[in-house]
Amino acid sequence: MGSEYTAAPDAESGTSRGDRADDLTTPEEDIRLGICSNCSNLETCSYRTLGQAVWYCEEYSLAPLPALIPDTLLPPFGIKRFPGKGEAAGRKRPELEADDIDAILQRQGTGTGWLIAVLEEIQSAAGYLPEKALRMVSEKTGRPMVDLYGIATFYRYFSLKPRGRHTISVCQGTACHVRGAPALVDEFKRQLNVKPGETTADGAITLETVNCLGACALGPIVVGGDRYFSRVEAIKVRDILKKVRNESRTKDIEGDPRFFPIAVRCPLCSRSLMDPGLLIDGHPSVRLTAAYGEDRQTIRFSSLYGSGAVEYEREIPVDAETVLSCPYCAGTLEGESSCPECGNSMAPLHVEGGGLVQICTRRGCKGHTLDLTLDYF
Amino acid sequence: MINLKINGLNVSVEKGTTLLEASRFLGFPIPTLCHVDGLSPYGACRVCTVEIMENSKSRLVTSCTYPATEGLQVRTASSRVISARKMILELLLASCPQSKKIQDLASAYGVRRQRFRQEYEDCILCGLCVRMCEEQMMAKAIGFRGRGEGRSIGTPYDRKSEVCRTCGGCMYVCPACQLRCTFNQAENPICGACENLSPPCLEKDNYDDMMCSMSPCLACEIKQYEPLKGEK
Repeated sequence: MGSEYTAAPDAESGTSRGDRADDLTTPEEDIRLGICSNCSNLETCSYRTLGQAVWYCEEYSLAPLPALIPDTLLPPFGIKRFPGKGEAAGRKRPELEADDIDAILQRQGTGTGWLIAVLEEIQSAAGYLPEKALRMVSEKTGRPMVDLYGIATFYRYFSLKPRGRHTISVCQGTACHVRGAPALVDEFKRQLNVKPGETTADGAITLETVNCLGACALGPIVVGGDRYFSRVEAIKVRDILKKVRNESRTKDIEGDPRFFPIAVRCPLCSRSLMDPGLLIDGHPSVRLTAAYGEDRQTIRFSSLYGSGAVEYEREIPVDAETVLSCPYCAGTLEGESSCPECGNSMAPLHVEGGGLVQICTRRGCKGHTLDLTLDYF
Repeated sequence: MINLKINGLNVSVEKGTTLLEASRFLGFPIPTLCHVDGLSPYGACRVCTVEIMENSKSRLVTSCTYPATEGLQVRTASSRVISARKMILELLLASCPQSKKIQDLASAYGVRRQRFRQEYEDCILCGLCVRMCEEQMMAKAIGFRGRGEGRSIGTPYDRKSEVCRTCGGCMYVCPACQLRCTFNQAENPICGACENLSPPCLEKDNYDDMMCSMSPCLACEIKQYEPLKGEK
């Protein structure tokens, strides 16, 4: 994947973006500033127009091409390379080729019930049943296409259309129905802007109705991702969608080029703040002391840049401003800049290998900046 | 040979014979929609329902799929069978009233009303065309798709099939494809026997090309449905 990475020369030539607005930075400046220079979201990106160095932006998720950062600006520690230009950001599953189908058929054999097993395997590999794969199975086994299509449309498990990364199933059984499941479906339809059986435009969520989930006493039931939500009311729909979306985000972190691990030190005493004893997102966490009012506690951040996951010992109210300090020298981490999201003060941390990361001190705010052009060491 | 009783008549048939074949062989008429000789029995339309006596209990079964068994008692036209068939035809009329075959049967069985929500489907999902395509034409171009309410017959992805030879066998056997005559009336759920208008038989020549189901014309015999005693 990494060997195909050709962003830097492409960005330098600048030929791919001849139609850029004049007030935007040039590709050379982009590289110097560390702005995502190959993002297709050039016109509306607010970070870009501000000339800010941003390595992860919310708007990115709408962009079809990954934001590419030149090799020269990548931190020197164990960073994951970006996918080649044509590939989506590691989310798209590979297309099944004839060899794959052969292998599946070989594994399943042609005994009783092989057909459903083969289709199941194709579905789990590709996420759905592509027409091409069905035709290949038909050709290789001599089973008519009609049979395959009939089975694929008979069972709810199989899907002929690409599915979202997550499925929301709203129970429409009798018990759930009388407790207002139809209104729930309407609410999901309204908020997702899709009909049951369809997938949202960003490929995140597939909405489905099911006939009974066997938990009628807890109805109306909604299954979102791997979680069951019981006694759901229309008012909870937004919350469920948020939870499902967040879940999908943490799952996507692995292999996503926008999330990479960084190691940080206290800017005051230069001790490493990394805590290998407690992993968050599969990487050593960043340990800090947080003070809120009278209360002082140890908090741990994910060292995956862009993840934003935090673990608290005790609950701190959302939006409350905390004071972060180094657990070793007890020095308060105070910076001069303010959060680009909410304007609160930011706590600076030195990145090992050179650079400065600043995190917002407000609970719940994920605002942060990363500047790797500054050399502190 | 298997000995059984059909309408009180002792018969012996070969093993593997269905009740439909045995009854027809003896001359007892049983109506069918989804049965064609030469295609495997399917039991979809239920019109061929007969009553059998099993362990001194009577039961309704589809004669096209039920094999003759030793000592079985069969009744092909008992009042229970007739009323069941009438109900089945009424349901078929509710879904596919434009089929000539269904209207003919309804007319023959004296179905004079249709009490269900009227639909106008093109297909009764009897599966004759699917079996024709597979068993006689060896093509397998069409098949069943989906499930339950969304079940339909057609080609994969609704595209023109590459294995179809456009033989027309599917249309030939289809009981719903042949449209009924509606004469000059708007389409109503039951063939209203337009010929019932007076004079019924004098202008008969004019209707020769109407494919009228009633042959011989019994139009003058047909009256509007009259409620039975005590029925509203």
